[in-house]
Amino acid sequence: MRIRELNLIRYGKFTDRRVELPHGAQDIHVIVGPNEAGKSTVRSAIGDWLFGIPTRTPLAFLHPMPELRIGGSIERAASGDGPKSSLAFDRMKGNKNTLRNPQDTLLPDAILQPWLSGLDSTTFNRMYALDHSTLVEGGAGILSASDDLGRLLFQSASGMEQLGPVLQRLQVESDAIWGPRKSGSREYYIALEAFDKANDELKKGTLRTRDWKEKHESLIECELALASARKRHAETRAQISRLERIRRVQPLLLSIDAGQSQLAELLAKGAAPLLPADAAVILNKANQAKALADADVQRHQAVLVEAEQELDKVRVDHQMLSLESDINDLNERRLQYRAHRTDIVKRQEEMRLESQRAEQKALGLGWTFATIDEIGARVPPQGVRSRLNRLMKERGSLVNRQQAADENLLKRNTEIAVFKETLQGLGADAVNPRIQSAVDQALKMGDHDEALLEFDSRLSRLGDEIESALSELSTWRSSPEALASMSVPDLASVQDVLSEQRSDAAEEKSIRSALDAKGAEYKHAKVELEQLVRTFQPVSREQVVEARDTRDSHWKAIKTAPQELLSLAPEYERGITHADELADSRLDKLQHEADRQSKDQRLELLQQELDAMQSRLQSVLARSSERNTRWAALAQSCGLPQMPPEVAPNWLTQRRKALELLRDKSEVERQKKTKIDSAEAARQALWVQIKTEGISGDAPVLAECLRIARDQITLAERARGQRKTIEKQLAEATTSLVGLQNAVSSAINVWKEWEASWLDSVRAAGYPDNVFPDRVEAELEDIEEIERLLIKVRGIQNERIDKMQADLDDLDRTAKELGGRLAPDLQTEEADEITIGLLGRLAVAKRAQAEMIEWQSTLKKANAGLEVATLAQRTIQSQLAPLFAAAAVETESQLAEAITRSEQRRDLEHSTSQANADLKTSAGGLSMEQLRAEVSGQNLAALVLDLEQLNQLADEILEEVSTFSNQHGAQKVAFDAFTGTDLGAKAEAQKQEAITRMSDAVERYLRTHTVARLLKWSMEKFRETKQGPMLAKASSIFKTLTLDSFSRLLVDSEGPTPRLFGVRPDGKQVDVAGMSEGSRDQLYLALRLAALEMQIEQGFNMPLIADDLFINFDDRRTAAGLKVLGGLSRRMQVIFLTHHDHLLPVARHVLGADLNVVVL
Amino acid sequence: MKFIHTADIHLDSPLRGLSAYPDAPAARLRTATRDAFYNLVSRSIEEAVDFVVIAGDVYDGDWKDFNTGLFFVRQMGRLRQAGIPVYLLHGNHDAESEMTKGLELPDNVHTFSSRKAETFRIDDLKVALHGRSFKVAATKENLLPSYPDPISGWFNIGVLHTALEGNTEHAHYAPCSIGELQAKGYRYWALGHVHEHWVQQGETTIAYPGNLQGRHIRECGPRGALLVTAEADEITDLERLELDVLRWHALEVDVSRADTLKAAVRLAGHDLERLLDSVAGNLPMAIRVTLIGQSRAHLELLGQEAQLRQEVIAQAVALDPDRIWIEKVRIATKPPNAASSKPLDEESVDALMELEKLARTAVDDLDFMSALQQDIQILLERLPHEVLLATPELKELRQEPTQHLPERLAQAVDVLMANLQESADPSARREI
Repeated sequence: MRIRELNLIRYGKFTDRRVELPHGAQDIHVIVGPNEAGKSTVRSAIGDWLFGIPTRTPLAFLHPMPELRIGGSIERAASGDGPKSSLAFDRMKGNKNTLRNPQDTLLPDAILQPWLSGLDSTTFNRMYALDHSTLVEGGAGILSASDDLGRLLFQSASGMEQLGPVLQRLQVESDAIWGPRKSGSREYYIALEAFDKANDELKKGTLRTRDWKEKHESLIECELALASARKRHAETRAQISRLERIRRVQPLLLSIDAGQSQLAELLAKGAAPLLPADAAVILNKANQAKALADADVQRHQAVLVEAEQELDKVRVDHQMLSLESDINDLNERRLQYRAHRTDIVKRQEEMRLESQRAEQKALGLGWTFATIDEIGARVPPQGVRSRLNRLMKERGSLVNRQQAADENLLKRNTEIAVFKETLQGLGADAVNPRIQSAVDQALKMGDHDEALLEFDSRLSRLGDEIESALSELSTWRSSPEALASMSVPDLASVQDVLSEQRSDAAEEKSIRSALDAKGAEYKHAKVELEQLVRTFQPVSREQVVEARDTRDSHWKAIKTAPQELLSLAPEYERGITHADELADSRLDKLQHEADRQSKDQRLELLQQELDAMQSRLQSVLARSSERNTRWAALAQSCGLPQMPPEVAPNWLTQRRKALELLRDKSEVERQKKTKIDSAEAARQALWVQIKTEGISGDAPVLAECLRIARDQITLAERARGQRKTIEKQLAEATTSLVGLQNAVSSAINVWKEWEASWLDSVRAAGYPDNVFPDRVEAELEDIEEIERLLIKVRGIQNERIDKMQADLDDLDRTAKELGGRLAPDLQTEEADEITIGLLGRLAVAKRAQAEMIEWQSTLKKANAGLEVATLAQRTIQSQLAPLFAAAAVETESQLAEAITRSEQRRDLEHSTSQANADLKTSAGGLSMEQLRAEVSGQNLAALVLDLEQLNQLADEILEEVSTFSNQHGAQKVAFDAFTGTDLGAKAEAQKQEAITRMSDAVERYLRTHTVARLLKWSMEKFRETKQGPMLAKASSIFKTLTLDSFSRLLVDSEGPTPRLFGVRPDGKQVDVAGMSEGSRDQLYLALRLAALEMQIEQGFNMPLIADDLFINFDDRRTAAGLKVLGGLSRRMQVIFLTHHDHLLPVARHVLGADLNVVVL
Repeated sequence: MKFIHTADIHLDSPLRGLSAYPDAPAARLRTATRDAFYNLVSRSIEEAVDFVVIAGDVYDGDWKDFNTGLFFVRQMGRLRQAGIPVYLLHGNHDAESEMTKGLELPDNVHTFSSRKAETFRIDDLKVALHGRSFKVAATKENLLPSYPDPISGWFNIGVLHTALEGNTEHAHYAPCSIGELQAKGYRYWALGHVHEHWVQQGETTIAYPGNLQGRHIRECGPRGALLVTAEADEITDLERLELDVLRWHALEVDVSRADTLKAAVRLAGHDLERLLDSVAGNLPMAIRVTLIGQSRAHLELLGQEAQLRQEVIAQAVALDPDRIWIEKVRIATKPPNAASSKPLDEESVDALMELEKLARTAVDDLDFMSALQQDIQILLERLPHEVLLATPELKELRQEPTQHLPERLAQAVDVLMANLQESADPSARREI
């Protein structure tokens, strides 16, 4: 289909604008207009014209919406589908019937159907009416492979789908084994690490022969050096010990010789007996002890003489001493009674004062007396005084008691009088029982007014509901009576009709949708078949038979006319060739032919299914129409003309509801009336009762009547309660009166008893009978005081003064008696004087006695000392006796000399034997003679010097030994460590294991990697040779559009989803995101044009409207784009809209001078 | 009279080709050669032999650790204490070793001179031992002519380290022929150098005891020494003593009955168990498992080699982790006949066939080949020398990449197709 002419009658800014698009060899038309010229309006006008103006359009800004109108004509060249044809029509704005012919006659909408290839407005705009944004959008849609076009694009030879995952798996596998980057997770590097580690271990564990030999040799060397040093050391030590011996022995020999010659000399001088070693000590001690003993004897003898003289002088008074205790006792008492005389005077004064105070008190009481004793007689006895006191205390309480009893009695009598008076004033009312019963009757009816209101509101609500129910009945509403009497169909039969209707509708719907699906499938199968036929041109058996028949007929012709063989032969040969070719081709394309046949059969099958569905649909439709007629008749007969069955169930329900509500309403009205009647009866009954109580006039409303009756009842009940209370109080008061009278008489009796007792007591105390208790009380206190004072005076005289006088008298008597016995010269003196004199004489006697005892003790001590000293002198003499005997001398001086010689001899003998013993230990096994021989001729000084040198030498050698010994020890330990350990061997084994692991890994890597590389290479090659038709088309267009900047397109299906790449002439792949904006637009255009070509091949041919698609193209690529569009326009109409008039020369250059250009 | 004849002890030479996965009995087998030698000495003492003959190669030539020598001395010390003399001959490896010269051996060890053939006599047994040590490793001349004539009436033993004639496995040292040995007139030839046990009995008995402990997969089976018993001039018994502490075994598992990797692994597990039962005692084993046969699992095995190894190891661990050390798992299966291959839908088959065809042309894409070579070379350049020594294929690939890469690429196509087939196979996908 192509557009011959477009007429913008009233559309956008245009009015009667005509655009001519005449058909040419290249059916491309350039419409140029600057911005705002209405270029885009033209694009949308074509869509709106072909498919209808949308309800809301922005293009009604000049002409009002209902007047919008687009006209024009479309045409179709003669083709296999039919002869050349054309159609002129206008499109109006509106909901339906928008098509008119130019003469304004209405055209059916369906008239355009055969022209529009089944497209709708959306699809048309997406595929054919392109501006830049729809182009980009559509291109991206294709690349996402989400629609059919996308799938078409990425289609490649089947069977290759699993290659991507396999490749990935191989790559992952080989990467896990080895990669140029070292990684702990890769098999190879794990093994390499083990290898390196084992190598290190091996180095550590290996013992080199050379090392071992060196160690061994140096150990032996060390051992030799050590032995030699030890030997030298021993030799030096031997020499040193010899010289040491000489040095030790020489002085010993000399001292032995000297000792022997001195001893000989001593003995030559005289006898020298050997006395005990301590002889000198014994002698010395004896001499000292003897001197001490002599001195003691002399001293004791002198003391004895003096003591005897003194004892003769001393005289002692023994009588005085024998009475010492009596004298001391007497003195004690004297000192004790010394204060008595002054104390007696003080006490007498005290007595006088107290007596005076008693007398004054007595005078105050008006008593007459001569002595103090008379006062004592006047004081009443203690018993009388106490009784008086008690009676006075009791008197107050008794008086009170009597008064209280009198008062209580009086008060109770007054109360009783009051109660009686009140009782008299109270009336005696009772409730009228008939009023009570009338009230009860009225109360049973409850709140009458409220009940009436409730009835009214229910009635009004029911009225509303009835009205609403009736209005629901709509068209078929009538009076309640008519409704009630109406005969209607029952609900169940209506439901049956309805469910039948619904199931038919559902069936119809499903059949129609199945029909649609089947129709689409049919179309699809048809297209497939056509494609197959077009693409592979399979050869049918009939064709072959036909060709063979033709060939055979030629042959027959030749056979019938052999003479014309030469002229007929070419025809016959062509026949043969053709038949053979067809046969071969049929053989080659047998598969395709089979496909074609199967597709044919499938088409036939589909057609049959379609027919069956159609007939099912018809039968359903017939059934529905018959049911509808039936229903209409029924409704009419029931007085419900034209009621559709869908409405009927609801209407019936509503009717029933309305009737029920009417019934409810009449019931409520009846109840209300009953209520009012009973209330009136109760009011009249009440009024009769109240009126009798003296209220005149007509009966008030029921509530008022009730109030009055209730007031009356309340008053009567209150009066009855009061009376009961007072009667109870009166009874209680009367009962308590007797008790109170008893209390009064008992109080009077007690008082009388007290008065008698009082009289007795005052008489006893010496008061007159009529004395007042107040006076008695006051005087009793004074009498008590007088009594106390008298007792005190008597106490002082008896207890104090009389006792002291007795003591003094006794002392005096004792002193006189003692003085008479011991010192008659003092007998005339006072007791004090006597006592002091006796004390003095006793002291003299005691001093004389002490002197005598001391001298007697001195005498005794001296006698004992003398005895001890004499014994000591004798002992010393006996101790020295053995020494004298041994020394054979007489005197002590001789003995001393003998002792000196003995000691000299002992010393000499001892030193000689000591030297001999020392010599023996130092001899080192040599005999005395050998020693003397060794020593003789030795120079001691030189020897010491030699010895020093030798010692030094020995120390040096010893140091050497210890150094060698240490060295040897260390070397020995190190050497002994060489035990033939297997560490190296084990490390080598581990190294071999690592090597095996590495070589395994490498082999595996090489295999996997090679396979992966090979697969990748094969896939690339495979894709290059096996790309789908759409990709091929798009690829070639893209190459042209990009001016060979890209050589082709490539689909990469290695990943999970296939991706499109542009391939540069050098083979470099550029993905879509990596392309420049221009290249990407060119890619999208290439994809879109390829898709359109595919459409054309499938028989869809619509004009392409390209609205400024080249905005990102440079001039050269624009030219290329125009060239591509020009090529396309040989197969379909292309309308190229642009606002660039500078494109025009380019376009004319590319597309030819006779290019149709429309300027807006 | 009893003596033990041993050779090729190669003390402390490591086990090769084993990688220590977790649960492998690695730690206690790293001293296998020492342990075997210790067993030898213990056995000598138990048997109270009259002497021990060592016919060369006590050490490994390039082994530098003197500790090995010290260990040897200690073991000799044990024999000395038991009063057993040792007659020691140096082989090519000993001649190379520094230890030979450095070590001081106990006085019960008598070493044959290398300057000329030397004879040791044991008078009370009337035994004469004749031998000549290697002076240098590369002793290529026949030493036999320098050996003296036998002492008549005595039991003459020749001790010689030789490749004998025509033994290609071992370097051709001190060659001589069996005929020459027989002609010498000795009663017994105690030979060393060849690691395989070999005995020829007769007028002259000629024997290789084999090495004492197998150290790699090419030294399979039991290893040990020979116990020779003789009465007067007559050999009455020649017993082979098994003294190794780890035994190598190449196990072939026929998986033609297996349809899947899992089934193949199960079969391997059964065979391992049977093998374990067949070896007496609790001797640990290093096993190479080779899967053979025409199997439906062929492609799956090829495509999941790493997985296969893990699962076979898991079987071994489950059986007895202390006894089995899996050396390698080799796939030598063949694809099944076309008819029985798994059904794939036609489309996939077409696509895969096309892809395979394409993949086979990769070798002609010079850019691709040089890029691949670069990738590989980066890794190969970094490999330690020892790894290259242990894996000659890698060494060759490194030296001549252009020569070996195409072959590897061809193998890669097979593996690739195996991988793809696996992933395209709907039944396989279900299993995953």
